[in-house]
Amino acid sequence: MAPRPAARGPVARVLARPGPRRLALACAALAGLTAVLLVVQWALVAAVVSAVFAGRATPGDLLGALAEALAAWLARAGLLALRELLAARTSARTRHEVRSELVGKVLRLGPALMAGEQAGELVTTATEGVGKLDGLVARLLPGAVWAAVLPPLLAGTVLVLDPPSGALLLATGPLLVFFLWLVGTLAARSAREQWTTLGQLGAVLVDTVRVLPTLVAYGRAGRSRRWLADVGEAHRAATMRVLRTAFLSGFVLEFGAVLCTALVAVTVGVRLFSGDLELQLALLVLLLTPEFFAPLRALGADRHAALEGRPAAERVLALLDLPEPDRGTAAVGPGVPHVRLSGVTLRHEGHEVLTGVDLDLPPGSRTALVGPSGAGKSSVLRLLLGFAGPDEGSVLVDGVPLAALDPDAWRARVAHVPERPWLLPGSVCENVRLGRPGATVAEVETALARAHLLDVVRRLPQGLDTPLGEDGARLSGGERLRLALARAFVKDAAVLLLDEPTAQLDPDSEAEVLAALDALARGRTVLTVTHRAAPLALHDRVVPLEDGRTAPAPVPGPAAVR
Amino acid sequence: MRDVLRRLPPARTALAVALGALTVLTGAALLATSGALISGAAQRPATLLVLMPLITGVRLFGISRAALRYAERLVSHDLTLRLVARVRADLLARLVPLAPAALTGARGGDLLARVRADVDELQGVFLRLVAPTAVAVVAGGAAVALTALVSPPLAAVLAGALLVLGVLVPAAGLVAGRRAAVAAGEADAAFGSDVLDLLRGLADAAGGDGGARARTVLEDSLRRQEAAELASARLLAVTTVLREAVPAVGVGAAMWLVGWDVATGATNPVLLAATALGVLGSFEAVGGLGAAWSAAGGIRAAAGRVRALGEQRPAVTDPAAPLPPPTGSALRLESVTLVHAGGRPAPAELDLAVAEGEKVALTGPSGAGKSSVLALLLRALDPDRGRVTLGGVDLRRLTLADVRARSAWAPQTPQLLGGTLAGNLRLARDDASEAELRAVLADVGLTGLLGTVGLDGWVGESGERLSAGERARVGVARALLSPAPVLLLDEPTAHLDGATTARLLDLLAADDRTVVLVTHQTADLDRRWRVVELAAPAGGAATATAPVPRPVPAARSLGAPAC
Repeated sequence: MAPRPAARGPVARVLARPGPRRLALACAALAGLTAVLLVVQWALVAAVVSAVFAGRATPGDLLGALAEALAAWLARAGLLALRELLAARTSARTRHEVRSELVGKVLRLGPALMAGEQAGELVTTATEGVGKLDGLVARLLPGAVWAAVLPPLLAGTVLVLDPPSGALLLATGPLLVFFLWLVGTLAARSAREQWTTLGQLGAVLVDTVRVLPTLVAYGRAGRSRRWLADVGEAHRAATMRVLRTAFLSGFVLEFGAVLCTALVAVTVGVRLFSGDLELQLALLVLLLTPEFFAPLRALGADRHAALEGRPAAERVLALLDLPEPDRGTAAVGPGVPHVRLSGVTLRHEGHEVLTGVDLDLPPGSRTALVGPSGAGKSSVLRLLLGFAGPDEGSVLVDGVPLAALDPDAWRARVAHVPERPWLLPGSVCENVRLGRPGATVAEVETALARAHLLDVVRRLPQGLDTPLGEDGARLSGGERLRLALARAFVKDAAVLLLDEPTAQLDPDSEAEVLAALDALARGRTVLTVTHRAAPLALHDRVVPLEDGRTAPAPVPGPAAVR
Repeated sequence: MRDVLRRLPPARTALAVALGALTVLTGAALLATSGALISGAAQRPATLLVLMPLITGVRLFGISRAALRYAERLVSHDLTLRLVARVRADLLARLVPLAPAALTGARGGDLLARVRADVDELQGVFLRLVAPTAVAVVAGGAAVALTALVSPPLAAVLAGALLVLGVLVPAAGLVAGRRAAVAAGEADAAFGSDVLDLLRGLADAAGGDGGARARTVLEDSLRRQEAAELASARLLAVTTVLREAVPAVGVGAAMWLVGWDVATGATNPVLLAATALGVLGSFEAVGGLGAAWSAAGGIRAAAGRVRALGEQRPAVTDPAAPLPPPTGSALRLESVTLVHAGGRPAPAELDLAVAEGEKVALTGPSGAGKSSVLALLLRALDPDRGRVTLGGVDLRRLTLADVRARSAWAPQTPQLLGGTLAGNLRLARDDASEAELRAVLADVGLTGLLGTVGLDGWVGESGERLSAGERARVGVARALLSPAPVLLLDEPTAHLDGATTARLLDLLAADDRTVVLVTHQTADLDRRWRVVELAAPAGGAATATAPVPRPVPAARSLGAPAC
């Protein structure tokens, strides 16, 4: 009878994880204990005050009761600290898990995800977005449990002690919760708008910093500052609109709670005056009244965190809920496979990137796919890497659809050298090992030597262990490319996909790299996309690609003549 | 931190603090008058009228407190948002002189995490530090003074308890929390950078080892993040115990001290319950400080990082007394040597003269420092030795704005704004007409984009809806559109097919403007171009060989079999 996960709200789904669930139980137990201690503590205080007031005893006679009241008070402080510690631990653990899940999701979805999601927004979701779940787990959840357990217990106690005051509390409490809900619903609606504005402001900031060099070069930095100031002002105005409503719930709570305390004080005072009530009892009721509202008020203060947490939870869960492409499970056969694209059509944002493409890549063939930029060459590579699936037609590996193969096993057999390879911020060695994590240092060096990069690497301050800085800041364009080639060498894959392998090289390096590629290509299937003449010499077939269409018959390439 | 505090608007700050203090005092007064009311009622005076002032007080405090709190929260949040917007704008202003040279060196993901999270963290400066402190001083002081009217010893105890809660506990929290907060901030920033690294290199990571290495790195920073958070939480738990326990001492002291006064008949019994409850209420003045100050470490660290970011020394600065811009646009590098930070080979003793209107192509092997020459001409960098002149004047004697107004720069990987195609092009010239935009796109062979993206179409974040080649060509088009008399183009033809390359080079050669371009494909250049070859880096430095008059090959089309 448990509801399906998708039917629940995002906040409920976050709080229904096993960690928060255990936290809720622990908090309920702590709240029960706290209620008992509160009644004991204030009863003792009321007894001491009324005895001294009536002149029945001096404080010295009541030392024992005073000490007991203080002990109860201290124990309560300890329980509260314990609650905070448990909550913080659960929250940290939960956010760790959610972040791990997000990373796993991003990896499983692959670059296909990035087509729709902005990188900056994804980072915001994983960092700040998940960070805001802390408000839900560490503050809202314990606060809500406290508010659910403590006030009913205290109101029940007051009802037994002094029915009229108890009835007043029981009437005001639910009324307050109702108003809280009413105002909170209004605030939640505008918080959602604010989140969008906030995200946009973040994107503007990041974008402005990213393109600052260009803005400065074109003398536009001053204008972007003014623009940013405008965005900031819009953000302030939007936030204040939300806060005016959000603080309203705090106002309602505060107003109700304080007014109720005042009402209890006045009615109890009048009944004392008419002799219907004992001072000790009246004092205890007066002391318990603020304690009845305290958890509700604390929850009201934490609602702000919940308001921020809900859209964050929505974004995080939306990302985790993204449908994953079916991961094939079929094993990839040994040897160099026969790869074939048959009648493949690929659409992106409504228009056809590839239309009915046929491409046959027999084992050991070397094919060059040539065409102007924008012709769809890179899309063919995305298909072959399994980062995209064809909308029509099929990609076959030894006659098996690529989608049926285990994608990790398939990618382990394919080496891809992108036009602008991304380098990790780690060392040279780590970057080469991305090709094959288990490679030995000797294998890494051999791969670097075959990519004509070993001499350059040896000249670096720490050789193989030199950190490359972000995105290989220490290397020139040609060197980065050769590093990516070294990655392919160390991988020893059956299929080699090259994207403009020599576009950024000078003629000498180009010749060196082509020689290296010739060696690398031996015994493998090679597909190169290029618009340059030089790499064509490597290939035995040239397939023109224009406007997403292949020519009916491939042209024999220079290597075929040899 | 101090420069953030300086930006606080005094009037709004005073208003927010006054409202906050009044809220606290109203709450304490409500409890005290309630206590007095029921004690007075228990004495059963002759008529209820005796109690009327107390009843009125209880009602007044009960109604006004919520309104005061609401106003205080609005004023203080508005103030905070204004403050942060100001900090953000100033930070950007300080980053501008650092671009383009220094920003490319910093770890971009780190920079991103810093600018966003740290500026957000600074929201706490007023809300979590200044306001609670000021309210504690004002409201706490008033409560102690009022208590002294009833019992001076109790006032002393109350003052002591308030000091323990407001000063001792926060100070201890500050010392203990600093390290935890710095560690947590660093762990957060590291995780943000890791995620950005993963996203940027997603294809390479997923295609390489299925993301196994990226996951290991991320798990590691996640573990550090969790450990840092737990350390902070333990500190917070200790302050919670103190925050809850110290008021017990105050209330206990009130019952003891005023109780004896009542027992000895020195004090009106009605005041016993009133002071005990009033003391209980006045602890609200410092109740928030314990938790607030433990955040101070994080806020201070963020403020420090923001300041450090703004205080980085720019690679190039405006001269104190700039010369007026020269009339000519001839460029000269005179015995220029550049020592790169990473010890990379760079131009050494390089001499190069580019006459006005001349077309110069820089070639040479990878790493010879070709792009660095463009950076020197644009004055993104200053030479370590030698000088660079524009119209005979050393670039360092001119304002940066004047130098950059003279040259349009298209880097190898141009940066596109997340905006429209037209917006990106008009960055170079605001008043370019639509026809001019179309023409310049045709010049770089991008007419196709008009059909797919369109001039007013969104190019995506960082222009990701365009291919790498298209982005590079938009960068070239932008430079072509610029009114600057000097064009500095880094590999403008790397992404072009043969026919478009020939057309662009022809167009550039026929242009009146001075053109300096970096290229590997010298075969495409005709006699209108002077080819300058930068020598291979030998002994860590690159030098220009004497420009040799080249035989003129006919411009030939590349990729003939394909296109």
